[in-house]
Amino acid sequence: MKSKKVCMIGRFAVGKTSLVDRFVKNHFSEKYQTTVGVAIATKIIDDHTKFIIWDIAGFEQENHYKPYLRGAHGIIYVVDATEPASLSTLEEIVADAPELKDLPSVCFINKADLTDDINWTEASNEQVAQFSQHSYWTSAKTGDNVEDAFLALSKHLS
Amino acid sequence: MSNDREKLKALLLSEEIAQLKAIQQLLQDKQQLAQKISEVLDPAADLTIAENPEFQKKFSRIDPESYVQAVKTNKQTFIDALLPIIGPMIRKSVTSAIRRFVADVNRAVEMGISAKALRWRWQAFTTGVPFTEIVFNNTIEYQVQQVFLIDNHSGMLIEFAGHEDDLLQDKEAMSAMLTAIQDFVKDAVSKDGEGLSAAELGDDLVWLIHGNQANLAAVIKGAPTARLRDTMTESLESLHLEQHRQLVDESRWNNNPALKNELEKLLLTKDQSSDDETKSGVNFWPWIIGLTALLAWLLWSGYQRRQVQNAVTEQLQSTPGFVLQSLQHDGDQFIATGLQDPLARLPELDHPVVINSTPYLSLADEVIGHRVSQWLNTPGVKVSVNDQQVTLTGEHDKVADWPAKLQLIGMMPGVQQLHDQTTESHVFELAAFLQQHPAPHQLVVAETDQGFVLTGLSTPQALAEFSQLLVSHGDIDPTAVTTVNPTAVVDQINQTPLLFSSISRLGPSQQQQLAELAQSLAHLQAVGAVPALTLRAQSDCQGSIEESNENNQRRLQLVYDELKALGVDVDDIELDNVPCSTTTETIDLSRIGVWFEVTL
Repeated sequence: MKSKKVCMIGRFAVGKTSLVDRFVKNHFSEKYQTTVGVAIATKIIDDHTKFIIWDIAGFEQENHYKPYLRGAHGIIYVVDATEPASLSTLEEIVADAPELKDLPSVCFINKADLTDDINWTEASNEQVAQFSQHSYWTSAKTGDNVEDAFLALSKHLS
Repeated sequence: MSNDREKLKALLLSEEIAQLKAIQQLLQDKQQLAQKISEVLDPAADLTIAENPEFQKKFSRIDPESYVQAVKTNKQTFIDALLPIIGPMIRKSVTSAIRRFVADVNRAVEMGISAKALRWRWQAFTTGVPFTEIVFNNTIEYQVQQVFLIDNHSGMLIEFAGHEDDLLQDKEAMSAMLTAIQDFVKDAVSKDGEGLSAAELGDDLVWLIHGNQANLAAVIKGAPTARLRDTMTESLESLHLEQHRQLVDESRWNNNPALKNELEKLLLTKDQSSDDETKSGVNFWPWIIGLTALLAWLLWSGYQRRQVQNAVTEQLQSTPGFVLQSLQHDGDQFIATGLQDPLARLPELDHPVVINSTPYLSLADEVIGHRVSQWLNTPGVKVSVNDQQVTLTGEHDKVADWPAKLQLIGMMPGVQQLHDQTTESHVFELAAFLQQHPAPHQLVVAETDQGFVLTGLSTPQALAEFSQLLVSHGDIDPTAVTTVNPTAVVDQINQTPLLFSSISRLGPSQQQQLAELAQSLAHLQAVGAVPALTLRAQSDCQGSIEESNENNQRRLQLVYDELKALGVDVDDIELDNVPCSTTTETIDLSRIGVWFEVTL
């Protein structure tokens, strides 16, 4: 079994930790808790692959996250479907670390359950396509597409 | 024929011959040959090393001579290149050595004087094993439970050894988290780029050793020594040297036997002796022994002092006429406080005792006996007292006041009954009489057939009283006694001045007068009178005052010197020069002289 380092990237409060909790523990909490530094979780995907998921804290501080990205096998970009600014944050991150574009990745367009608040346009899709070719509408709260999205990344890594 | 064969060869093998020529040309053209070999060299080397790991060592052989030559010719270049590497290594090594030294000192102090340490020293002496080694083997208690070899770039787990069941988290998660913490410490806290080197996870300790390619982490239970860190460092260095390719090749991570074996060597367990003597870190035995000895000494000295005090108390309490109230220890002596009869006879005490007593009248039989004997002052009479009943035995002189004495004894405090079993002595012994009734002053008694002859000096009154005591034993002849009436003698002296007609010397009559004066003074002293003599010089003050005063002084000195020559104690003599206030015209010899003033 091969271990794969997967880093979750996204603005604060987009639901990175909730997505990990849903995927690893099948659990969701409404209570928001800020991640400090990085949280590590593991999940066996199949007989050949094990994810070491680095849930990196919000990306507001310049460069503080870069050491955590070293040696990553795959990237999970997370944006908040209700918050366009979260997409801008991802663009800034990729601009700051262009080497991320070379890594297999998926983009989680999270909080898909908040249908009334979704603020997403076709231009948003184009923006996502600039750094990841694979995007999934996910909801950590309901669990929709979460596992599928992780498994999709797994296939890209193998 | 030959041509035909050539033609046939050309027809049949023209293609192969062309290829052969091309190969020959390639072999002869070194540049082309190198180009071709370089294309296959890298995969060929990988394949060869994979099939034969020993092959790699051939590439890593070092020619020492070439390095030595290079260092000699380019010293500064080597220094510049090595300094950034060697500097931190030296600093790290020194830090590690100091920590180890401190730990050794602490351990040595703890182990210095325990019984176990002595046993280990004996073991070291007999086996030749260094003492420190024995101490180390017997005192360290820790267990390396898990060892992680972590890629320091990605935080991915390269290899793991140990019990996964004891892990707080998944081993990959642990590996990643340790790397994340490491990165955080490096970026946020560390000044010199040194990362996390140790952390505590609950009861466990995590030690991290940093390498160029991989980090080594160990989860340890207990209290490891600095030597474990050295061991880990050596192991990581060995991995980097010998297994470098496997460290950088991610496809060879996880379940790599070579790496796993190396890590499993670090799964050490050091057990401490079951003896708890050193567990606390502080050896109490010397203190316990010392305190016990001190306590024993205090108890023994206290017991000894108490024994002595009891002995002294017993001695004093058994002394008749002494009532012990308290006995206190004061340095090397005792202070006894109590009541003491003046007639009590204190025993010889074995230890120095200061008696601080108040007088009282004891009613103890022994003291009553002393009191009666002292009062009787009769050598022939023995006094015994039993339960305050006084019994007199022996002989007493024929004295008139014997019944009166008995009556007084009966009135003494504590005397309940008096039994007089004495008999009157019929033989008069003058010596015994005189011992009981000493003759006054310088009166001498001689016994003759006719009675007693008294000689010597006495006052009339003392002579009369003594004679009255003695007369019952015989006739008395006091005619040879020189009686001295002190008052009459004093009057005589005071009324007889020594008149002078010359101031240069004393005449015979004056010398005679002073001799009589000296004798009178001696008589006064003999009969118990203590005369005080004042010499008072006067003159008629004729002529000048100064001359008169000087003459007075000379006369005083003449008399003084003469009395001194006659044996009079001149220390008690006062000299009084009566000065002239006015001069007279006429000579009056009766006013020139020295007057004597004797007082008793």
